[in-house]
Amino acid sequence: MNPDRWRGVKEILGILTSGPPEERPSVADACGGDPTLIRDVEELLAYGHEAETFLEGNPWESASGEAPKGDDGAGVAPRADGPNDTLPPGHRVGAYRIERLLDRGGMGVVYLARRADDFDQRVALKLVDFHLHTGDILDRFYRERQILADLEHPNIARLLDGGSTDQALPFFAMEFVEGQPIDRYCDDHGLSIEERLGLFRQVCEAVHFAHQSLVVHRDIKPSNILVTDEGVPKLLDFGIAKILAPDPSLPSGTTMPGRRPMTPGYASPEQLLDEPITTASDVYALGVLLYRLMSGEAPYRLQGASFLKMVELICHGEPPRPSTVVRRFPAVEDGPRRWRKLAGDIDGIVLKAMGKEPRQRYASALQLSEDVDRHLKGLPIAAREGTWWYVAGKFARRHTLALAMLGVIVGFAVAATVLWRQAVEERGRAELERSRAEAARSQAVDERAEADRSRLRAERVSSFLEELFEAADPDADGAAAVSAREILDRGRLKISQDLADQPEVRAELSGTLGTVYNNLGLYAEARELKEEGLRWRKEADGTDRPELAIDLNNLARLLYDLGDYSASEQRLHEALAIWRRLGDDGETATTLRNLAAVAIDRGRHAEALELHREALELSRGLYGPDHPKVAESLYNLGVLHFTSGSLDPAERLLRQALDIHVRARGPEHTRVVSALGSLGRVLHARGRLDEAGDYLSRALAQRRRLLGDGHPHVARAEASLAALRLDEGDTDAAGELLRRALATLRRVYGSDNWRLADAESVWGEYLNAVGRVDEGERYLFSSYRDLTRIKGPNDVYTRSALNRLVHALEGAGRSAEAEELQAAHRSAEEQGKGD
Amino acid sequence: MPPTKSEVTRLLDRWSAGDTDALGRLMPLIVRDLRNMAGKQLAAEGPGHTLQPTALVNEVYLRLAGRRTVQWDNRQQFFAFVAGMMRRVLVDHARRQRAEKRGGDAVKMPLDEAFRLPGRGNVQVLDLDLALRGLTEIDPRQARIVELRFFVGLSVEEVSAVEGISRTTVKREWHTAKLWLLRQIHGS
Repeated sequence: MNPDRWRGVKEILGILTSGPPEERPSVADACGGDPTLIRDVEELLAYGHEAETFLEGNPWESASGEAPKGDDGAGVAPRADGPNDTLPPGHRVGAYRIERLLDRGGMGVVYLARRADDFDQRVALKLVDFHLHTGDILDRFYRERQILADLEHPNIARLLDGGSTDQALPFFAMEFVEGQPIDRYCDDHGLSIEERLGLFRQVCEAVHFAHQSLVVHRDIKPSNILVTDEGVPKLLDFGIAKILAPDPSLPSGTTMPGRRPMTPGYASPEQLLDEPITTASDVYALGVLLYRLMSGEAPYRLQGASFLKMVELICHGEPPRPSTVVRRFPAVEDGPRRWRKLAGDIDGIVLKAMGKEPRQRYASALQLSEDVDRHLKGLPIAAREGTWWYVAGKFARRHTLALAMLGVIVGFAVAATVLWRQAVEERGRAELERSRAEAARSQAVDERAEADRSRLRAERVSSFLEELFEAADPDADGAAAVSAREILDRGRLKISQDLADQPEVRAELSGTLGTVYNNLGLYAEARELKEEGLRWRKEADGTDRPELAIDLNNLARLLYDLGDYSASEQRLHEALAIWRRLGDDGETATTLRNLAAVAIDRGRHAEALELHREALELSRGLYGPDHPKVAESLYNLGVLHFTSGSLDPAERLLRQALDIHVRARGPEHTRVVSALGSLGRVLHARGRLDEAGDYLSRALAQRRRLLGDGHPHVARAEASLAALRLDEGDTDAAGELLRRALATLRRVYGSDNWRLADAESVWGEYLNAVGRVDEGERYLFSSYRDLTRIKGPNDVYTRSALNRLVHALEGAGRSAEAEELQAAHRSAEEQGKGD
Repeated sequence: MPPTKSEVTRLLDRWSAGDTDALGRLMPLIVRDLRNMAGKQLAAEGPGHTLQPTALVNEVYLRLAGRRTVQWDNRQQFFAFVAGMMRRVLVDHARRQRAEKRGGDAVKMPLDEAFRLPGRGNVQVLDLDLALRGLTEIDPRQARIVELRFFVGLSVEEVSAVEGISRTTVKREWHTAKLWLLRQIHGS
């Protein structure tokens, strides 16, 4: 058949197969009586029936595996009604006979089973207890199974088979592995750090192998990694989570978070937020696993946490570095010095693997494994660039929208539920009252009225919610997608229009929307809404309510962040008055400390001292004289005295704080170390160099041990000790300490930071001392300028920098210049105080 | 050593040496890669968007076609590549299995069974391949539509987007192509 003829035949076929059958012409008519054409067309039409199914299917499935087979239904063993009933030994599931129960987990029950046919093979049989259509799961299983069955790796338990039980529940048969979960194995066998890392690398490489076959595990956790008696780790359940997951092709915006099978402790931010899951999600889980294996603890405390709390912790939280939890770790056998080095690297590796954003993590499980290897070989690791706060901050910025919306939805839902519950309960109570005593009738009527009001309130909140999100649905009016900002603006408008007569609801919603605006960085709007909410709160609840004080405190925090200190102070004073009237000493003390923080920022040290003193008294009254909270206040007061130059009280207060902290928390706690450092600086300022040296070197040693080299707190301690060494005349030691401190501070803070400026001032003094006078002077000048700008002229660090500069100028015989500088500083100080 | 990279290379070597099993293992990976690429390509807006092949696809393609580089200037070219590639993989696989069967390895699964194409009839990949070559000669566009629908698994909508023709046309061409192919296969 030539092309032209085929075109003609196609046309005729089109006529003969389209339109209602009764209107179609006969083949002969359509072909205009041409006999060869009629033969062609009739032959082709004869294949019509076969053509219906021909090529309608996936060639790859039939090419790569046999057709799915259903449950054979064989076996006469007693039936179990559901997966929660344990199947008895001998019960038959597919081609397998149950031997015993192995485990009962979130997704189902696992049995040890044996093939009932000629192949004598022991398997782990997983019966899925998951409320999804079995059909969906099986469909996915058949789609995935060839790939999963092909995951042949010594450290991956193979998926052997799958099907459905008599009760139409899906089951999977997997290679049976006898072993212990990896975390228990490590602890029980007392494995060293190196041994643990070696095991971890094997796990990484198995995961990487699966990733190369485009299989993501999605649920990596210790209970899915068993270690055999021979010490071989085996990963279980590879790919199972995907088979059990809701169909990703369904619109994901509507799925409720948490519907995916996952383990929150090991779930990555994207998994929690129902965003696309990739191999990077497994890298994250490996990071959590490493955290657990190294520190003995989980990074976040999620037990009993609400979903929102989990989102907050996992998407925003900074877990403590593994090295800070590691002191409780039993397997440190090589001495603290070795451990210190280890901890710094491991912190970095875990941090990178657990990046909030997928692209901040290792690009693959293999890279993670290789970095561990580099660490084991003592090579520099690739992970030491990032920092916790950087990563967390980045994620928060990129996901503010999603998180803010999630927050508002959950917030609304909670509010609606609470109000609804209240209404129901109050109503029930009201009914009860009414039937019990006729005498209480009038009261019951009141309560019923109150219950009705609550119900109404709940209804208003939920209908408000519905309308708001209806408006945001792009399909509702065919318009383009609505931005979160628009939704919020509409919500704001609706609040003022629809809820004018509902002060309480209005207060609640204004406050919530204000928080969302704040999360989105729209501070002006956030402020307006929060202030509006406050007004409604006052109208609804009166003036002496804890809720009002809390709102005031939140607003004050926002104002503080906006830099409007006087407004912030005013709100804090209002809150303070409420707490005082309510007699809540704890909250009063907290509010006093907040006020003190604002006062310090405005350079009003004397007032801050007063506030801290009162907070201290309240804390003492509440908790007794030796409570850590009291020590906290003592410490704050001590530092405040120090920064304003009163060295006597500073020393006394810091010693008291140190004593309490040592007694309450032991000699190695971070609070103790902070107190040691501050006390050391006070003693240095008082000229008691020997004593100061003792405290400062103890503080540095402890910081290094707790945090590892390269931490900014370590750098601060190094700078403080360096300043002392300079005064002692030990320039070599000072130079060594300063070089390390500056490297860290520059890396962490970049430029324009007071801690860096302080260290640079000491560096200037050092350069001067070793004869590099010009260079030194440049550092002394610039750090003094920076500190004046950042901390103000009244600050102790600014004054120290000035003193160093003046000292250097005098040493160079430029007394007049030094005099001038001091005079200028004094007048700046006077001005600062008047502010 | 990354186990999988060597694993893929090893499989490719074994496949080149005539091991059917090796391709059987590689195939799901290749297909998935290609599907993902096709999905991305369909999602990408407008022309001028060039897509890089994944390493796996690239390597397999080099083995199959012996070309130096893989590159596409437009969507149509890309899909022509993917379709051709998927067809080659499947056909190669079938050919090797047939050869192996002739070699008489009794333990393997019934190969013709495994390579029957979907549908009620009993059509095999190699027959389809041959028939498709015939169709390409008289109606290349129609043959392309078959490749896209069947080997790549594109929907009618997707084929219409790729080829720039109406959905009705795609449906009509698809239907008549199947008739033609069946007659060609059974008639010969």
